[in-house]
Amino acid sequence: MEKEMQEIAKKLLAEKKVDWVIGYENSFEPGASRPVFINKPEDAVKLVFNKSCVNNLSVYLPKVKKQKAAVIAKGCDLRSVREIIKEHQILRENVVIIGVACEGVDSSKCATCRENKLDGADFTVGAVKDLGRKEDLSDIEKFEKLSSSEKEAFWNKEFERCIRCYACRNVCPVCYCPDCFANRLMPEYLNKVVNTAENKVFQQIRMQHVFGRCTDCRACEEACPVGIKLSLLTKKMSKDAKKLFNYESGKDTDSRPPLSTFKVDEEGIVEIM
Amino acid sequence: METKEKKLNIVGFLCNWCSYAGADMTGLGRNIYPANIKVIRIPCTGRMDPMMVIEAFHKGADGVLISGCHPGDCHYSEGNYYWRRRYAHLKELLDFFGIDKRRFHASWVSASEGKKFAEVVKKVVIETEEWKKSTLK
Repeated sequence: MEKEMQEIAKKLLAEKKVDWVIGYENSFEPGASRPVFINKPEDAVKLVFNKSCVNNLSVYLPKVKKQKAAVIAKGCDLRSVREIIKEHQILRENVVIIGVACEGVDSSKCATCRENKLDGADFTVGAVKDLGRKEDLSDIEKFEKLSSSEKEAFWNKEFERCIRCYACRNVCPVCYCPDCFANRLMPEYLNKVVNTAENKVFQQIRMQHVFGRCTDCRACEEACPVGIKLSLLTKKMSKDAKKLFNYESGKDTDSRPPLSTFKVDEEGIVEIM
Repeated sequence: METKEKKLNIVGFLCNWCSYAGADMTGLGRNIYPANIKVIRIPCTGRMDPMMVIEAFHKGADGVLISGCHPGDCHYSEGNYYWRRRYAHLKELLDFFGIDKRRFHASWVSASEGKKFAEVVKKVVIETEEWKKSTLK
């Protein structure tokens, strides 16, 4: 599988079809991997794929805008790649998708893997197996039934730990704004002081911004150094998008995101006085 | 010592073309409505950045009311349709964060519906009060 991947990368680079190959390489630590950016055919041997390849590499795609790039994508990452193409952050002809048949990596998200199919990938490495796993929304439904004060208490406890390192934003494939509201000073939506209330506002606004675009890839939860349960929020948002607008992000590359379009006859979605 | 009950703070974002004029009409028609609402004029409900709602709650608003033109009557023809979608999801998301659904409201009030505006504000205040009482228990 790795050999096949290296061959494809080598060929693409040698034929000058792409400027960069974004993949995984072994880290210093045994059994760990890190992202690697390859631009010489002879370096293609560095590429690996194993259980430690958790990162969502599509986050680097908006940064290679003018150049061509090939990206190694698992089934879940592929949804983010489609979303980035949909939002015109990279042109479809400028990206070569090398899909990897993934059977789960070292991540909590894999237990409820929704999609490991590789539809729309230019190359497929390995054979895709049906894992027979299902999306589990039971924790969301349980949480929704709590009272408002219980919910607030839960999030206060979570965001008390937040150190506002913005790792969740930086690893998010759809958080590519060069001028983020969190850094803006005029108007200052977010105080730069780190405290529970401000941390919560940061995440509320971030979640609102990625609504209907978030593919629930859980990169933010993986990156969080203090282990805030962000998957609850991302799951909730994909559930809402499905329930309210019958929309699934990352499914295709041409549908309109739910908040940038509307239907005249949808009075039923919400009660307005 | 006597404890003074704090007055509820409701922030109302009213669209310039319908609801703001509707609020004017309420006064013209001498309809009585609670004075808890602080009105902010916005060009259109389509201009409502959800960030402003989150900010309002963060800065201490007990309730938020967004009011605009009836569907199909928008001055900019489609702004309120966008708002309806945003409102639907924002209400869910804020509820998930622990901001009660009784605190966040939207309404369609046209420039001639002075009476309706008074009713809407009354309802918002009653629901927000209900929420406030439930937290004190």
